[in-house]
Amino acid sequence: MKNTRFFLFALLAAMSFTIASCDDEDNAPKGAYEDGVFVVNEGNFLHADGSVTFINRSSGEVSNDLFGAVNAGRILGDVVQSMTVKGDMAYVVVNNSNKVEVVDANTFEASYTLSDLKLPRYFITVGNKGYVTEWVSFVDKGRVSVVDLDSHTVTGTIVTDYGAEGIAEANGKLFVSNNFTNTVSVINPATLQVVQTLEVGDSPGVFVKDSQNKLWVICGGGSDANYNPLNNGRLVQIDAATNTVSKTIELNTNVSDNLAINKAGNQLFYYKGKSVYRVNTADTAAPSAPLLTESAAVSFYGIGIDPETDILYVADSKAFQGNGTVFTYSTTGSAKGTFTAGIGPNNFVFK
Amino acid sequence: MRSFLWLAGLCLAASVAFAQERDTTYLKEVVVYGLPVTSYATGAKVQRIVSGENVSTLADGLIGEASLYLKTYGNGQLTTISLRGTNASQTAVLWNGVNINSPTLGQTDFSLIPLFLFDEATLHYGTASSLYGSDAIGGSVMMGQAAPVFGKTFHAGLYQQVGSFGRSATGIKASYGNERLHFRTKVYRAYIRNDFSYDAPAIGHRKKQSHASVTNTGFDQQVYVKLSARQTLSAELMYTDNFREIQPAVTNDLANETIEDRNLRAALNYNNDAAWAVIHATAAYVSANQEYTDDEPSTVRTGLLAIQANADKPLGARSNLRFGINYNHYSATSVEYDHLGESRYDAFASYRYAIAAPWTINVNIRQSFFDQHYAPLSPSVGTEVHLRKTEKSQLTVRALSSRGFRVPTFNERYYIPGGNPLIKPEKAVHAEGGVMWSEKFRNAMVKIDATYYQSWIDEMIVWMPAVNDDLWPIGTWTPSNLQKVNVRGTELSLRAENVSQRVKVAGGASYSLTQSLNKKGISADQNNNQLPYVPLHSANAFASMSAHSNWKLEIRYQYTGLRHSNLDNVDYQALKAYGLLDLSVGKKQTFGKWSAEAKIDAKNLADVYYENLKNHAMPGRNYAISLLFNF
Repeated sequence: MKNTRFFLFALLAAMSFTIASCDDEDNAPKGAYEDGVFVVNEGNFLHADGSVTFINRSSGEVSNDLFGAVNAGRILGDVVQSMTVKGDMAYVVVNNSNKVEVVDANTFEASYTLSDLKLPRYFITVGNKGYVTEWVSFVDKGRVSVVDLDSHTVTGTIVTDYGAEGIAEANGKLFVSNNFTNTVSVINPATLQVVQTLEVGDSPGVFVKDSQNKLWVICGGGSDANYNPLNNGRLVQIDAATNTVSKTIELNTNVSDNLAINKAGNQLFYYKGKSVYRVNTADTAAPSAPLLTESAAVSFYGIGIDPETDILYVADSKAFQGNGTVFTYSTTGSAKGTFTAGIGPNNFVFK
Repeated sequence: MRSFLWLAGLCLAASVAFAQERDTTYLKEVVVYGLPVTSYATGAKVQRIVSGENVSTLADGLIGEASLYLKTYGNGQLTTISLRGTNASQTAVLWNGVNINSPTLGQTDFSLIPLFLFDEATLHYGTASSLYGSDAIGGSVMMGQAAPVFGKTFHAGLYQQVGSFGRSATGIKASYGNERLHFRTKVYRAYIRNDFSYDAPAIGHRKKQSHASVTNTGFDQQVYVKLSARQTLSAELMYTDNFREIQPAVTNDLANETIEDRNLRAALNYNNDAAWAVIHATAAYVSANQEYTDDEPSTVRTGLLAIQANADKPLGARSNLRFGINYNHYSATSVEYDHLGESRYDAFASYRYAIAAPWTINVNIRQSFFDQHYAPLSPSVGTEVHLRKTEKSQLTVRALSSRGFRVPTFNERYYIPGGNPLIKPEKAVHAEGGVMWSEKFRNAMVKIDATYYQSWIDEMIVWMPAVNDDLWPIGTWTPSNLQKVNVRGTELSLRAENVSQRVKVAGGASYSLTQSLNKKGISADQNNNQLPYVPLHSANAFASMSAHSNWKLEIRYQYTGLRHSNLDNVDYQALKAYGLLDLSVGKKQTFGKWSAEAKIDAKNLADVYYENLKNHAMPGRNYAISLLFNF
């Protein structure tokens, strides 16, 4: 209710602003969610209660369940895994509903749906193409589907390896982490071929790009047949120009396979349990102590850094018993604030 | 402690009120074949739901009962119970006195229990681990068969139903025997395609349900042997197979998961109405085989071997003593833990005493042991006082207090990864009081029943990511005894009917207020919030009319209040309240020894879209025609 009211207020404000400056189209707000931080809330598995939360940077106002509030109570679906904003469109990847829901990034009005995907995970765009990683299943190799963003159709697929997860573009190539393995597949998007497979470490996940235009992928680490951790989590730097692993920082423990980088592009942030760790891209060894440990948290589930404000966002899933909490900090680890998101917050998108 | 004092106060008040009203009959009539355990449920609310005629599930049979919520994953899909504000593993489900809750999950899927194979289901509200052992916190459901009738008999019945969404069901039953032997055979099959269309606001357009068909088959064979005037031996073998496509959430297409449950239950019962006591012994074997198929199949097998013996001994004219022991051996096999086995032992005693003709007091106690641990000692004390009991009028007050527990499941203790072998049983303290008044007037009968109860549940088990590396690596989902829940509830029911010969009119309504509040858990800001999937308000009403005892018209309305889907109790995430209107018309015709009955059911007449689990569609208006022949 509060969200709806806020939305109407924002809409009114936007309208009056439009009228006042109708001859200056470029500056006119395009919607209530033009400038701020989105939180992707996964939802409880099988309950289809994933959602997206918005935090207005200037007012700090938090709006939950954007999609439902704007689209007459509709839901995104089951396990909202990630979201990517490109221009005026946002691509919301809904893992267990096997689709990408495409919405207006400024108003969150539903636009169209890319369906018939198989357990999609992450989405990036390059030019007028979208690339979505898919697990496909737990017994088949994962893949990347190529989406024509003009015709809204899947135009091709590239099979990588089990658990196709993170995806990044660098030097005209696509890099895909295969989460159920220890590899990253390098894809030539022109030929839709895997041109190289890099061994990086067990459970590779999210990529970030540093100030030197190098890619970093975090490897969560593996476990033995008895589920004992191998404590071999690591940060791996990939030189996209040569398709080689250019540096490895051993973390000596298993960590979550989520990763964030600061505004300057020289500090990496990852987490384990309810502790966040920070390591410089120039470092050769992992820090022995965490940057921060949040006693009020249950278990962290997502991390991001606002490239505009350099504020660190960390999400606590609160064991999916209710709505998750987002904690904010400076990149030096001093607490800034908290707010409530939806169920199972797992990703942040900064716009 | 407070509850015990309150109870003592109530007993005192009752005894004062009844001091002068003594009467003759002190004990209830003794049923020779297996004294029902509920004869020691003094002070409790026990409701018998007679079934066995229709091919339907226990889930269908319990809809609309007081303080009971069924979390259904779709029409005919996985259904778990929340009785009096508790969770699915806090209701004991018993067959032949044996707890058939899954040893791995600790709960029963109520859509897998076919009512056709049973003669009755009994619902015992409230904590009663003293009578039923583990899991009897919110209540207990007992599935049972009617006592055998020895004599030259032959009865047969045929049930046939067709209905909306490709529903068809057939059931055949026969009973036959002589002075020494009695046989009963039942067999059934039911199918529903479940391709109903629905209009869920969450997807914004009308859609046809796909991938939700359910097929049920099963049989039951009972043999009763009268060994002597006082001794009976009986055997029962029941097998059910349930195959279903798992109904996906409203947004999900391309679903391919299926589940097949095969349940085998066998029991041997010996009953001896000996001079010194009624002795009853049971040996039972219960096995469940569940095959889940997603991208690849995975199978969980569980088994239970149970041996139980008890004796019920009258001590003079005023009191009865019942005592016994149970031995249960549980086993489970799955990919998560190869093979597990565990023995559990129970010793129990019950004592019932009629202080005065209208005043009975009852004490029960049970100690269970599992895997070399003591379960919490479970006593209970209950009393019932008939303030008035005449042919025309009855006014009864009752009260009880009890302790209950739930032994942690195999998954909670041994699941790899995450199982916590140090986990303790859940515990509950319960108190309730009630009053029942019935009055026969010249043309009508009225009955009113009111109950108030409170339960304090502690050490409730919650799964969450590990916060340290002690047992499992940080982040591994693991259970711990973290939660505390207080439940407070009121149940009211009213029933009235005329006593006319030609046209019988009856009507009734019931209402339940269930406050199930989280008192301690993962996050302090969720304290005092209502538990998910427990409606604060639920109610139902019915009116029926039957003429010449062969036509019957019945209208039912069932209301289920708002349910929160998580512990944060935010309204936008809640499931909306709904009301369902059902109508049925039936006619019965008797031709000598034959009887035929035809019935038309129209359910959800107002075509309401509703959900019992978030974003899982339930069907709109639907119809069924049933025919029943009895010989």
